[in-house]
Amino acid sequence: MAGEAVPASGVRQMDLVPADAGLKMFLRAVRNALFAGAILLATAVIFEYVLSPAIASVQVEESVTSTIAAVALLVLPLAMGVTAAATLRPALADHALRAILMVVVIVLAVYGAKTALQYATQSGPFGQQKTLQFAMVDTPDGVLVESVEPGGAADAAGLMAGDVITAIRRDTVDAAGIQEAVVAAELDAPLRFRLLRDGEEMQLTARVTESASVNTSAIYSDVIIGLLAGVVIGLFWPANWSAYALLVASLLPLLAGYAWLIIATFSYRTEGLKPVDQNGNFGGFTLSNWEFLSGQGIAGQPDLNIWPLTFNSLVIAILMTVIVLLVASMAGYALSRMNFPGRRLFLSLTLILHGFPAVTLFIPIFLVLISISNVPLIGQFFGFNTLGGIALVMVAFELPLGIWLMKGFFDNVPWDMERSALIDGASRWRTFFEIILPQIRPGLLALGIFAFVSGWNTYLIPATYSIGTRTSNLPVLIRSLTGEVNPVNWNLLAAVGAFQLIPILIFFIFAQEYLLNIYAGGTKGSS
Amino acid sequence: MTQRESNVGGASASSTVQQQLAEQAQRSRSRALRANLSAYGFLAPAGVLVILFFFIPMIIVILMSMTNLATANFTTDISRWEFVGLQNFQTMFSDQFAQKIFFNSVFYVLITLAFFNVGLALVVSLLTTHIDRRAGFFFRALWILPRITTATIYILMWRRIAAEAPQGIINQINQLLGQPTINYLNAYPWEFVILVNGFVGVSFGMIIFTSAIESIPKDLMNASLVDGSTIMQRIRYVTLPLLRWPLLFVVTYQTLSLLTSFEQILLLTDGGPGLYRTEVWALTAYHRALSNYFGNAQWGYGSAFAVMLVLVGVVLAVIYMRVFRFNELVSDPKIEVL
Repeated sequence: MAGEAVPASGVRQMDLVPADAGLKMFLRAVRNALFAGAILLATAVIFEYVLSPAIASVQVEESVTSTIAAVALLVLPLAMGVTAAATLRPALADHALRAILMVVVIVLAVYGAKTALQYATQSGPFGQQKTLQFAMVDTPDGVLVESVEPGGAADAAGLMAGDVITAIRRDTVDAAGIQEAVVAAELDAPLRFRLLRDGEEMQLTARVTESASVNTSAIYSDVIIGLLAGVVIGLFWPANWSAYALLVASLLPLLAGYAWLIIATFSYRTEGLKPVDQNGNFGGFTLSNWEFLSGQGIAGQPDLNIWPLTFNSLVIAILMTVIVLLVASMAGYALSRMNFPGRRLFLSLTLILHGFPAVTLFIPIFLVLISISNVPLIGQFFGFNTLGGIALVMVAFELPLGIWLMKGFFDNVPWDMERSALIDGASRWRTFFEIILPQIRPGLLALGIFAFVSGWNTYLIPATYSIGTRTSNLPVLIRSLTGEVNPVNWNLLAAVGAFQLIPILIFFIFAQEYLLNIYAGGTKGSS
Repeated sequence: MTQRESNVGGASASSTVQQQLAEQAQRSRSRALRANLSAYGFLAPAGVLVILFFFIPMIIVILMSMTNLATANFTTDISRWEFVGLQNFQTMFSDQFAQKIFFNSVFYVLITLAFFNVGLALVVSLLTTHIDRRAGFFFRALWILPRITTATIYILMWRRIAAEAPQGIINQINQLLGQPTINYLNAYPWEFVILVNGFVGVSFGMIIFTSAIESIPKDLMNASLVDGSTIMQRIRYVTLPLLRWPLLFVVTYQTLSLLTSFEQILLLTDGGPGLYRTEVWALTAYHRALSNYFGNAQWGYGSAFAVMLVLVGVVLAVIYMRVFRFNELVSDPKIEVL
């Protein structure tokens, strides 16, 4: 920010006192912090008070806008502190202590203002907290009630100091567990405690209430996080690291998802990302999830065999790859090299279809497939509920992209060789197959990988155009194992999923560059 | 020109020359015909597939939207369809849920596009082009993963991320922090629909933007470096203005993709929870005609929903074609007729 222009009025006054460069720096930091705060505040206000009511008025039930506003407010003080610190970074080299002090002052001011605002509106740590109004401590026997607030919720329920709570309903709890249950409960919800009073077991029900107790620890931890963020990230953290940190942070959900898939595959059960055994302890590693590979049934369904379904997946993918490559390269060649009536029409058509969403034609394609079924001979291989039919629909959906890509590759091949072949009297067909196709091997490879991946992954088309397991594939199997409400067995599912994912990952590792390039050509169907 | 004309004029006197010319013309005509035929031969398979799976379906869907075709009277024989005019469209426009579903789709497309397909894509491509080259490539490759993972597995992961305690990953973190646990998919369905689709959508814009950023002339960057600009200033004043065209391209293309994609929503929430909470237009067409809970597939009514999408698709695709790359592609072929 060194070379940045400062608002004129501020600069002139400051220039009169050149000795106080520190003050100038400080004011600039304050200004930048206020600017960052204003942007986030404006975002929150627009989403909460403009967009949210507007969207609600057209009957869309969503909380996305409120969530965005809440996130903006949550990061607002942090962002202000970090912005201020980043502005002060140039001063760090000469006056490290002063810079740190300035950051601390600004952060404290920001959090002071925040706390004052929360106090004024009685929100956040000053807001109503759910409580049962008694103090407790963990003991080996259970949770000892230390004291009960007179007239409070626990008192009204008949809880007395000296009682030892052992369980809520039937679940044994500790102090943290009780606290959690209280916070999670609805207002006035009954909580049934089991407890020991003078050695006798008894039960009583307390109702959760709210009281205005100030959560001071929340305020302190908030300020400490703010200070750390301001000083560490704003002042000392190298800018390059922020890029990496942001990239990793944005990828976290994905990384967590894939990590779960791998962990779950090899464990009995998982809680979050933690593999556990029958008793809920860490461990429980097993290979039993992979027993479906024996082909003797999946999830207790003996007629489900993984291998025919894998074979179906493979047939669809290979059929699709072969047909797409052949048809797209032929059409691409004609469009790149030949002039004929209708060329312009066909080209513009290809482009329009490339942009056109084929999924919208799902309903009528059902009829087309049924009609193909009625054609003798061909119908047996390419009709409704056949692998060929599924592959053909996939081919048609990928074709506009394929033709477009292939034409681009042909355009880049110099035509000298082809020309001399033609002059020597070779036919167009021979030239195409023997001379030109070998020239665009990278293009064929790229389109082939792309077609194979989408054929191997296809879910919607086999799910819609096939009945039973005869023609369905692995993605459909995974979906059917997921069930309507709860999956049969998460870990088995993870193993089947990993089994389906392995070929894709192999392609991914060896052909990233091809895939990266081809996805720029655009995919259809998915977002 | 005049010389050639006089040549032709002179030759016309002799009948043999005329005959020769006629023969030549015929030969070249037949050669042109042969060339055309072989061109059409090359195009035939693609043409057949396009007709079978694009044109015929487009006609059928329009016809079907004007019938009352349902499970009860389903037939593939078009002559036995009962045409009811525009009744389906009338029902659709007066259906209170259709209105909700329409706005659901608009909301879904706008938010996902703004925050992920364009917003996050731009951020990721800017970040990955300003760090070490190989690291940047690695992060971009990771972003491709959601697109090449089959939707059913991808959704399985997200369900697991959002699941109730003790299975759910977010809820496990909540438990560690002593926070209450939430059934996220029921409490925040739209958040997750947008996240799930957004994470797939990032890669498209990311690749387009990255190649655009990398093709910015080095001179420009060096000039701004010499002028002593900061990274932020370079991005603001050099990179972003040059990204206007790719931005427009991504916005047009992804609007259409988002509008018509429903696979992830189908697998994640299936339009729920509750009545049409996360149902979008494309999903409705699918539900009505192909996957109905009550066993009564309304082919005609579902087609009416699909026709609206087909219309939007055609209009946007034509705009898209007019705006981008068309002239470049229609340029004349290298070898015409030999």
